[in-house]
Amino acid sequence: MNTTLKKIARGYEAVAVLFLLLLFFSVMIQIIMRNVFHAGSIKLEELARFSLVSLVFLMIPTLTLRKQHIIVDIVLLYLPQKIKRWVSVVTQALVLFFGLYVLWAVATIMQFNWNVRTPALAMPNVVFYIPITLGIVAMVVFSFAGMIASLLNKEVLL
Amino acid sequence: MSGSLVISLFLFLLATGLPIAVSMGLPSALYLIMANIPPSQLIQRMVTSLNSFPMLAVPLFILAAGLMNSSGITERLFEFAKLLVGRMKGGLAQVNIVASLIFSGISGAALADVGGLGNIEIEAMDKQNYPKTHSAAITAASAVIGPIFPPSIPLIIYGAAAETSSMRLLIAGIFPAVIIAMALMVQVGFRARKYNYPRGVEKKYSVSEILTIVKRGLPSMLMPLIMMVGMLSGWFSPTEVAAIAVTYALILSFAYKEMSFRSFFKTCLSTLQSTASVLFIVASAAIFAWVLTVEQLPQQASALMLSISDNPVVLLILANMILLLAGMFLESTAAIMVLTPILLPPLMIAGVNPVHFGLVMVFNLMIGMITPPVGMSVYMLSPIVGLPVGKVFKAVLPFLASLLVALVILTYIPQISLWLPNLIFA
Repeated sequence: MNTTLKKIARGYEAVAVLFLLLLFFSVMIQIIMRNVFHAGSIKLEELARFSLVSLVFLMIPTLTLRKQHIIVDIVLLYLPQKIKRWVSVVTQALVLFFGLYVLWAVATIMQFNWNVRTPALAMPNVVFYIPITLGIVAMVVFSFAGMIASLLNKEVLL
Repeated sequence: MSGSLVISLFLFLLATGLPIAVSMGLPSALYLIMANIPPSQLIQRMVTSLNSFPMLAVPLFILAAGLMNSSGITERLFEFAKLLVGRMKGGLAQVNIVASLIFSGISGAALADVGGLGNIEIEAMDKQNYPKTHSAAITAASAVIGPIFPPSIPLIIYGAAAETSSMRLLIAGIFPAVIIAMALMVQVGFRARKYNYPRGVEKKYSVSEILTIVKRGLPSMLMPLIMMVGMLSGWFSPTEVAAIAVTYALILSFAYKEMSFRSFFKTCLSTLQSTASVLFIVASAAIFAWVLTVEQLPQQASALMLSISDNPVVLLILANMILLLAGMFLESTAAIMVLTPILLPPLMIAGVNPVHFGLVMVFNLMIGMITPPVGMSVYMLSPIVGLPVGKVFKAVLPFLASLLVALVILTYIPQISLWLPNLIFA
């Protein structure tokens, strides 16, 4: 299972890197167009913003799998190993629950507004929300794997 | 489910080690379920908070700093700082502060300063037999400057939370950062005499040595200058300046021949990790703050603060106390997103400028990065110096004196922050 999770995470990271580069080039081209050709483009700005939203949500599962989320672990540090394990099970379950709620939230938007388009690129919501949905689905899967691993006293690590 | 219950649940979940973003998102989700509010509200708030032009600066500034780090800039900066103040008594301790000030013009985060410069600074101070506790303490304290001097990720996030111009905020950080550096340098000067710190450099530099160091350091030093000129001239927005910084860092990396495709990809990945961990908090904090607003918590806090006093001096003391306390327990992004809508309205009613308060807020929260129990800079430094966290916290304590003096100066002389942005945007 670890190999599959690793491959999924690597795939997400690769796509997120592409979005990062897309964001950078969109802003740079925008600067050149505005300053050299006196023609700014709202499409490029929207593309950069879409890239930012996408890369953030695509990286969330990787942070979950590698336990790189920002946490406050001051209480955890003083807990005995056995309790720490159970706390880890519960926190992974809570992340899972939150992920499921976010997916429900996405589903409710898609139900009525899937065809609403963004102002500049005219991108329908159903496309805009693809990276967000993929990110949250993977977060749910990774937190479930993490929960099972904690229950079995194993580590899911890359 | 009341607002206070949402906050209590957030603090409880935070203490269990749940990711900060989820600790904010989960109580908000429960609130929406119990209040029968459509769940779409949650994802829409989260997405809207990220779908903004100023936020684009966050990954770009992180990428620029990462590229500069990979291109060996830190050593060049350290040598350059040594040239400037290395001859003083306790020279390396002063170099530590000056290098942090220069590095802060490239990076927008305190932890990047600790991670980027920390190793070099501590290794050099070790060679001159500085006590490890002293070198760790100075490194941690000087890293506070990073997010005050532009570029600054916390200031950009505050700008979004307070709906204030991030350009004004970034420019407002220039003089406060210099004041903080000066306060630290004065304290280090006294300590150099008390503990008999050695000079950083014994011999005088020859002209050819000076030219070599300047030549090596100049291209990296130009980066903050390019950003400053770009912003001060009004040619570019902070986001555009960040993109130009990335372009310049890429050019430098290839010019120094220290960047391979592999290291570039690695830098991109670490940029993504830092960006996502910070912006996931921003996204969750957006719905959390909305829930608090629906529950009228900011209005209640505002009324409470104004019932104590409507004098800005008193309110700023109160705000500083709250922020110092919050900084001790909360990660800075989360604290900014939650506390800005609560603290800013009463302060604005009392006549405090939001740009000035942004600087005060970020400085308070950065002090929290070196104070127990959640001082992240200290946690990061502890393995670098090979000392237990507790010892580093104890060693940092004396430096709180100069930082608090600087905080008082910056809090009660708003002109230090506001003079430059007012001059430029008059």
